[in-house]
Amino acid sequence: MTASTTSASIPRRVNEGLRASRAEFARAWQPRHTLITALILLAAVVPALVEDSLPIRAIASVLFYALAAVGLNTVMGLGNMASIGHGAFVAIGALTSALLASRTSMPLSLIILVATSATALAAYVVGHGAVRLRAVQLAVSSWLGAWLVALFLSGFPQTSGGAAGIPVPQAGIGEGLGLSLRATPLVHYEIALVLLILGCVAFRSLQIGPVGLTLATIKQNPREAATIGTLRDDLRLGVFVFGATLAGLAGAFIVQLNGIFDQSAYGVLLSVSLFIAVLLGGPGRVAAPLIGAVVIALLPLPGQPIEPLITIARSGELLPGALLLTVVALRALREVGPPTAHAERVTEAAPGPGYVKSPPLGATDITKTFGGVVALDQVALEAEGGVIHGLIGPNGSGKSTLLTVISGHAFPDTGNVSYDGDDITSLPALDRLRLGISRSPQSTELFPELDALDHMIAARLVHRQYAGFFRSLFRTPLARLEERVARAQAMRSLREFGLESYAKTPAASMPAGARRTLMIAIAAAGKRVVLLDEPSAGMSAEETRRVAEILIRLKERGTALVVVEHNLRLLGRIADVVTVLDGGRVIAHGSPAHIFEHPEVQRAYLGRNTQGHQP
Amino acid sequence: MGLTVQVLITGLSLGAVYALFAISIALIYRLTGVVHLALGELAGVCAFATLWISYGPGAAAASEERLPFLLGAVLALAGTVALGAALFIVAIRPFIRRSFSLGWIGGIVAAAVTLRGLIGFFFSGASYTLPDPLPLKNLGTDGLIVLSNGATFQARVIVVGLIALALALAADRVLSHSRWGAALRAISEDTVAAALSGVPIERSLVLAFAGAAALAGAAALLALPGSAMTINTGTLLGLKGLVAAVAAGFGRPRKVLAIALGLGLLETAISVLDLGPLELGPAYRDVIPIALVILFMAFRPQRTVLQESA
Repeated sequence: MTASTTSASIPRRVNEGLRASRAEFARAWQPRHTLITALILLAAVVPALVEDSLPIRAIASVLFYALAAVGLNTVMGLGNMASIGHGAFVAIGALTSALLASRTSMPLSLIILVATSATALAAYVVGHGAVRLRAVQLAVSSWLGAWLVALFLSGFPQTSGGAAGIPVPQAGIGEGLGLSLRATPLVHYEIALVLLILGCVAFRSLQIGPVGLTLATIKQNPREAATIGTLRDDLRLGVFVFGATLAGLAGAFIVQLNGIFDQSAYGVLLSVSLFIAVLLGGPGRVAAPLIGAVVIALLPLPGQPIEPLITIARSGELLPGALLLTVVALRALREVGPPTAHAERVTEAAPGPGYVKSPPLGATDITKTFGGVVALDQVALEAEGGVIHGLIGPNGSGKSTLLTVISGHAFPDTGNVSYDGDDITSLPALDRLRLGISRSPQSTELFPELDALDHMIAARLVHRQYAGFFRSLFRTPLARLEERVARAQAMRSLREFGLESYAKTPAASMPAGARRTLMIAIAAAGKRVVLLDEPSAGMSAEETRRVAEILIRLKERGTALVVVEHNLRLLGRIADVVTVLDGGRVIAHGSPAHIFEHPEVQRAYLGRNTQGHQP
Repeated sequence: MGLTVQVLITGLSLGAVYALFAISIALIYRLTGVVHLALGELAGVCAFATLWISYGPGAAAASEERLPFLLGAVLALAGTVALGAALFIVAIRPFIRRSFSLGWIGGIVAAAVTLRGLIGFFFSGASYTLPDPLPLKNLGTDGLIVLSNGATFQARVIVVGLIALALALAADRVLSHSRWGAALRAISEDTVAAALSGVPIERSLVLAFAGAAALAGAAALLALPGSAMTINTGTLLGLKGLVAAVAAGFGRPRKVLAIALGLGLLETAISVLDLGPLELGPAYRDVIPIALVILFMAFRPQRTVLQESA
């Protein structure tokens, strides 16, 4: 057996690999997948057989609208960006497509390519600003954008064709490229079906991969996302551009299908109805845009070739408006219950699995002032693998500030921070996270709707190499391999911290003790220097003892720990060395036993008289 | 020179009307974090409702008066105010209580579209004209004033501008000196502290939305008579107010007023000026300010995702 395995020929190993993935595929296959496949096949074949008895053109255009809605669902459901101007991107794709078709003799395939690229480019330019906006600002900005496009279309008839529209001659799909297929409504329908399926698959790929997780952390707790290094505008921009591109693609096809660009069909109502479509089906669900598009298809909205467009556009806003109001009201009812689960604030800290002994980290001569107030005055601190360094001092003595300077969330006025012999004084926090230096905040910050496993995967996202937008979109082999490894690592971390029973429990429903432990696990995930701000604050004696055990375990693994703590008994038990700050200066440094007897420490920190007399 | 004076007068008058919208939008944003996207639609409803009440359903232009214009205007304004308050209670309040921003955004957009739909349902013609209640035809030549330097403008422009300016300043004064204004300022500074100090939050907010609707309706009744209005007319007023409010950073009334006046000037200049190769014209007056404010929002140097309370 052994011999045959080692000498296995390459074709044979490929065969085995294929068999294994086939087995995995078969395991994951569920009855509903059979049903969906059958429906797709039916949808692809039946219209071709009974072409004459179906309003193929109308059905195809509904599918294209659904494609645009898939794009909006990516922006809303994954990126958590409330865009109420997504129709503007449909309009850009449609106008470009119509102008190219009427003024040049490009083949259809090239027209679609150029029109879609133009939309993507526009979204890229706009998106750079848009992704930095808060939800409300983005809504305002996109609303203005939708009106800008609508006013442009109605105000510049020489470009948009005005009331008469731009007639779009039917082009061959690949004229000049050796293809002679003509773009009949049926061909458009089949293309729409394929694109829609691809769009849904892409949406799902993004959602279940690192991109979806990253965006979920930003949505649920941006502050903690910043702490663990997942606050990434580039991914938000990625989904924004992706969503706009799908919309532009849909628009580019719709005008070709209808044979005309009618500017009144691309006004604000289109944006609003796309918004309704996604809201109806529930943003973030794959089927949301499909359900929404079907409902919209039954409404007399502009842009649908079932009826003359303009008359309906003028009188028909009452219906979609009322529908949207209803949807919103239903959402309001569904939202009743617990107010938005926002993480209760508990205090928390501690480290995780770092198996390699951390190189020494040193901060020297750190001075930091805030508007004239000296927070730190020539402070020095060292951390080393396998050592727990306690940091104590009265309130306002600069302990937390020192941690933020070491973690890179603040920069010192003077002084240096070095790690492993390198000067990292001006290195941004995100890069220090990648080096393995993390800081756990004083309050408990978790992502309420994510389970413990997702928290642990998210905590290591910053160390992943193959978790970018395109690798996630296409689920490349490397990306999938890395995903499996990440999942295994996360599961192992959970077991080490005794959290495996919460792997599938949302953080909001975990007991307080488990939430605290999870915070420690997150801070320690893949890190070598862990800075903890008051891990035991607000904890019971029993919970404090557990935290002490966890900290000691981390120390034994070679993690360097710096622990700010008010509980001197805890520090006395676990710390190897203690630094005392007072008024931003180091007033004592040494072993816990030595420190706690130090007269100046007793006076400054414990409020005792140095002479030992009663005050 | 004549053109400059003409732009100045027309622009400032236009800006004063925009200011009435912008001040309301900024105030409501500071009170509730809600951006009132349906204020222009409320203004449109007020104008069309006046037409309906005074001249009959679907009246195209100055047909027979059924009721005196003033009575119709007062009734329409009252209805608009009630609508503004109802809109807050139905479409916004349920969501801001749970800080579910997608919800109120959907709610207010739905309200805007529904109001447009209502207008379109009863007035399906291309455009309508609200008769001018101000007896200004006797000023100048048929209501047109021509200055010696060639500046030409309508007499009603000056009157409208002055009244709008007075209304805007009055709104500012109410906010800074009245008891109710003090309550609103307290809420916008710190809602919790205001509630603890005994400010009736709920009632104050309903009143604020009603007041915003009143200002919007009054602005429409002031500015729209005498010229053609369509389903988009009110919406455009609201958009311009939004543009000014955003550009002013949703700040204090006087800052908003200044920016709104600037916006009016800019727009008038755009629609009048012809800079040779850069040939501008009326079509650009709506587009350019909106494009500018979108760019302004997008590229202001700031980092805001962190401040977002999820």
